[in-house]
Order: sequence, then C-alpha cells, then structure tokens
Amino acid sequence: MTGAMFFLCISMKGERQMEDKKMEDKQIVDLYWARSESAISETAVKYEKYFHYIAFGILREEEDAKECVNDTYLQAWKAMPVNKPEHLNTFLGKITRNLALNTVESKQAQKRGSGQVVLVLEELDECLPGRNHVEEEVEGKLLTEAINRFLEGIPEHSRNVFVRRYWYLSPVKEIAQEYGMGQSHVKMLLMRTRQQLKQYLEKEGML
Amino acid sequence: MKSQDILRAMGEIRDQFIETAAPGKRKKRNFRYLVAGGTLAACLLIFLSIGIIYRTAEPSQSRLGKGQNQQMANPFISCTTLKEAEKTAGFELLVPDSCQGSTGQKIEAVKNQLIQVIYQDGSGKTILMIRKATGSEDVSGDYNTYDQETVVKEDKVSIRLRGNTDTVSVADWTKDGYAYAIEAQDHPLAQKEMLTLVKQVK
Repeated sequence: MTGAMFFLCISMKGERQMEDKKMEDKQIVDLYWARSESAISETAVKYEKYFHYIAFGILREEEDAKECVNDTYLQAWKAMPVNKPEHLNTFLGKITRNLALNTVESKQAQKRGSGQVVLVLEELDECLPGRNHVEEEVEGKLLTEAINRFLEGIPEHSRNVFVRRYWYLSPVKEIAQEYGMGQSHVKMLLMRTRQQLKQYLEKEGML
Repeated sequence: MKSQDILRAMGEIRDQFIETAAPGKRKKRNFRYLVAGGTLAACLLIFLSIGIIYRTAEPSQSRLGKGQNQQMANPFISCTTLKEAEKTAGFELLVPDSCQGSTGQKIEAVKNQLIQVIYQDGSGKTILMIRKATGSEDVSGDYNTYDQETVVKEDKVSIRLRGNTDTVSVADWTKDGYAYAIEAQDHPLAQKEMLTLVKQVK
C-alpha cells in the first residue's frame, strides 16, 4: 500500500466513524424516548470523559465534578423525551456546564455570611416586582444570539480559542499547548477578541 | 449586564462552535517533530504496534465503564396514582384528569424533587406533559429553538410561551417556590388553550 492510499484509508475510516457516531447518538436518544434505563449507561460510556472535562474545568474538585456529571444524567432523563438532540455531546455538555456554574455560584453564595446572606436575599426577592427567571432567560437568549453572530464573524482560530476559554473554561496554558501557541499569544488573542465583542455588543445596543 | 451574564449566555452558543473547539479536536502543533516522510511512517507503525499490544493486554475499558454505569439508578419512580407521586415528591400537584385525545396517563416522580404527568393517546404517544418541581429553575427540559417566544403575565405570574407560527409548544413559569412546565411539542396548542391549561395546574 502506498503512503497516499494508507492516508486515504485512514481518512475514509474517520468519516465512517463520524457516521457511526451520529447513528449511535440517535440510538441513545431513542433509548431515552423509550424510557430505557440503558440510555443513561450508554451516555456515560460514550461521553462521561467529555462531561467530566467540562465539569472539572469549572469546579476544579473531583467530587463536585463527579456529582455534576451524575446530575447531567438526571437532567438528560428529564430533557428527553421532550427533545431529540442531533448532537448529544453538546446538548448534554451544555447541561453539564450550567450545572457546574450553578454549583460554583451556590458555593460562592454560601461562603458569604455562612449562607444567611443567601437566605435573606431570597426572602427579600419577594419584595421586588418584575424581573424573574423567565424574563432573565429571554434577555439571556438575546445575548446568546448576539454572541453567536459575533462568533460567526471572527476568524475560526480566534473563535476556537475564545470558545475554549469561555465555554470550556480551559486554562490558558492548556489552550497554548493544544494550539501550539505561547501563553502570552493566547492571552493577547483573548484580550483582542474580548475587546471586539465589547464593541460588537455596544453596536447591537446590548451594553 | 454583568460578566456572569455573558458567561451564562456563552453556554448556549451554537453546537458547531462548541464541537470545533472541543479538547483534543486540534492536534498539538510542534514543529520540532515535523520530519521526513520515512520517519513519520515509522512513527505511525510504532503507534499502531503500541495500540495493538495495549488492546491485547487490557480488557475493554469501555465495557468496564458500561458495567459500572449500568448500576446507576433511574431517579424516576413510576407511580400508579397522583397521590403516590405526591408522597414521593413531597408536594401536591393539581392537573386536569385528561386532555383532548388522551386515553391514559403515565405518572412519574423524583424523590423530593419532581412530578411529571404524561398524557398519552391510544398508541402510547405523548400528547401533553405537565411537570412541577421544587425550585425556580426551568423544568421544561425543552432545549429546542422556537420561532416565537413571549412572556404573558397572569395573576402576577410571568408565563413564558414558546412555539412556532401561532401555536404554543411549551409553557413554563414559577410560583410559590415551585417551577412548572407544560409540554405539547407534538400537539401544539393555541395560546388561549395553553393559558387555560396553565390555570388548571397548581
């Protein structure tokens, strides 16, 4: 076999694997829709490492990360059969990320005033009119749409580095290693992209 | 707007952006290792050999993982009556006895957390699902993108309605420390019908 043929075979195999992945995701989703408990174990077999990477990146504590991943399976069970996600990894990865951020926020809040501040704030919330989680979500969605448009308009390399930092919360050192860049280069790129995002959001009237 | 809002909003960006930037998607670039084709081929052969030896020596890790994970308990408990579900969840739920086209109900509960009532037609297909859970987080479990999204206020409660064209597929709201959701994805309702239903759920 020539070198070219060898690489062609690898490339074809890669494409087949991508196809298989799609099929497997669909099968797992079907299991959720059939309310089969094996849906959870199949999800864990395929994506546990990915979910752990996301959770640990945010929480930086093994126990919390494990708990967060387990909660992801519970949320997956709740989310299907309502949804039929095409990309199970990102669909559930978003859930893992939100759960991990919730944990961080709750821990930070507990630290302030041994939890009493949180309780008092919750009690005082009842005195405030208007803004509730529904309205906040609508605003959040508009912001996400603006960020999507911004990300679409910047070079792929900058976008990947930005998403890696602010979606996966990966350390700068790790991003630098994976992208073959110096850490200062990554920091500079992130700073420029943040400035561009700020300008874009101002232009869109979001800031 | 706070930086936290941006961090949260980033969470819902397009799947394609998340997938492309996923860890391990990009091979590390280290030009010191860019050598002549013959050396590269030799390296590949070494990697392949290691792979074969590793696979022969180690039992399948994925199978091991699968076995471990199959022990994970399903948090949803099937209940025969709503009363049984209320006992499991630790709170009460008031829902309509039936909905248009439904022939039966499937009731499930998560201990101290959630109750869901699924209205099914004769073939077991879901017509409508109603959920109530402790807390204020969105309990709809619906992450679909809809053309329309509106917030309607009824008796000082903000109800978010999402759907396509002139119909509503999902409604969610919070009241008195509980989060509620009604899902009618396969049989969307008119806004008026959905709001009538919302009033019946307590």
